[in-house]
Amino acid sequence: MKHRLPRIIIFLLTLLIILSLLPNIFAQDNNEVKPDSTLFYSSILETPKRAVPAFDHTLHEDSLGENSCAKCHHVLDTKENKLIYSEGEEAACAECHTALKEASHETCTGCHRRMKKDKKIAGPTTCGECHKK
Amino acid sequence: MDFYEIVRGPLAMIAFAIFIFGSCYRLISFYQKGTNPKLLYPKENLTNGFKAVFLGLIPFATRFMRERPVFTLITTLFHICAIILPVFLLAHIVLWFESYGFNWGNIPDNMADAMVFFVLFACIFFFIRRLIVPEVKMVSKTSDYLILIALFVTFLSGFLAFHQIGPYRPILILHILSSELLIVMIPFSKLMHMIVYPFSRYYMGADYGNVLKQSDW
Repeated sequence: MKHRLPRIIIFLLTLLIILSLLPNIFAQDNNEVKPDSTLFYSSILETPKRAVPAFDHTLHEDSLGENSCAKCHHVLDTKENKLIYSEGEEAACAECHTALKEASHETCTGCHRRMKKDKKIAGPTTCGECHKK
Repeated sequence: MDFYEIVRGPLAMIAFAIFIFGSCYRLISFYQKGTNPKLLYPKENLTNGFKAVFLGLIPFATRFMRERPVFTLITTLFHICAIILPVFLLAHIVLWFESYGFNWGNIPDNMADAMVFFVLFACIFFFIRRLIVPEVKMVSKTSDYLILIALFVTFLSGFLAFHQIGPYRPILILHILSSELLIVMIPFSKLMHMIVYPFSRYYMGADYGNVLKQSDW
C-alpha cells in the first residue's frame, strides 16, 4: 500500500509518453535503399549472422555534401599515426577491416546517431532498419 | 530528437536510476524495520539460514517444491530462460559492445526463440495460476498481474522485433519501454525478490530451524 503511489505515477507517465509520441514512433526511416554495393562481406569468409545491410553509395555521396568521401573513406597515416582521407586511395571497408561488424557498427550507426543528435536528417540507428529481412 | 534514441538513452538511464535508488531505499527501510528491538530474533546460528537460502535455489530440494512438481518445473525453467535470454542474446551483446566496449559469448538465435516461447507460455501459466489458485489469488495485487503482462509484452515484442514481424520501429520501442517499466518496477513490486531473496529466505530458515526446531519447507 505504501508504494502504490510512485508505481501508478510511473505507469501513467510511461503511458502518457507513449501516447503523446505515437506519431513520432510510426515515422519509420523508410527511404528506399537500392543495394548497389557489395561493400559488406565481399572479401571475407565469415558467414554473416544477420541480413546483410543494403548500402546506397550514391545516396551517401549526394546527401553528405562537401567532403562526402572523407566522411567514410580513410587510410592510416603511419607517420602521424592517425586516420586521414587520401584522394584516389578509396577502398571498400572489407579491404582492411577484418572485424567488419564492429567497424561498420561504429562508422555507420555511429555517424547516423551523431547526425540525429545534431538534429540532422540521418539514416537508421535501430538494428532491423539496416539488417532488413 | 528521434524517439528511439530517447528511449534507448535518457529514459533507460532514468529507469536504472529509479531502480538503484529505489532498491537502496527499500533495503534501508527493511534494515530499519529489522532493527526494531520489539521483534524476536532467531539465535545466532548461521547453519539453518544458509541451508534454506541454498536449498531454495535447487529444484525439488524443498518440500514446497516437491509438493508442486509441475509448478516447480515451469518456474525453474522460466527463471533460467528469463535470466539467460536478455544477458546472452547476440543483439543485446552488440548493443553493450557499442555503448561500453564489453563483449561476451552469445546463445544461438534458434535457442533464444525456443526460450522466448517457453517464457511466454510460463507468463500465461502464472497469470492463470494467480487467477484460479485460491491461496495465490489471495496474495495477488494489481502490480503482480502488471509484472506478468509487462514480461509478456517485453518478450513477445522482442521476438517480433527480431523476426521483423509487423511494424518494426513501434515494436522495438515497445520492447524497450516495457523492459524499462520492469526495471522501474523492481524496487516497488514483488520483483524485489531478485534482490531480497537471500534475506527473506535466510530469516525463514533461521526462524524455523532455530526457534521452531523444524526444517523450513
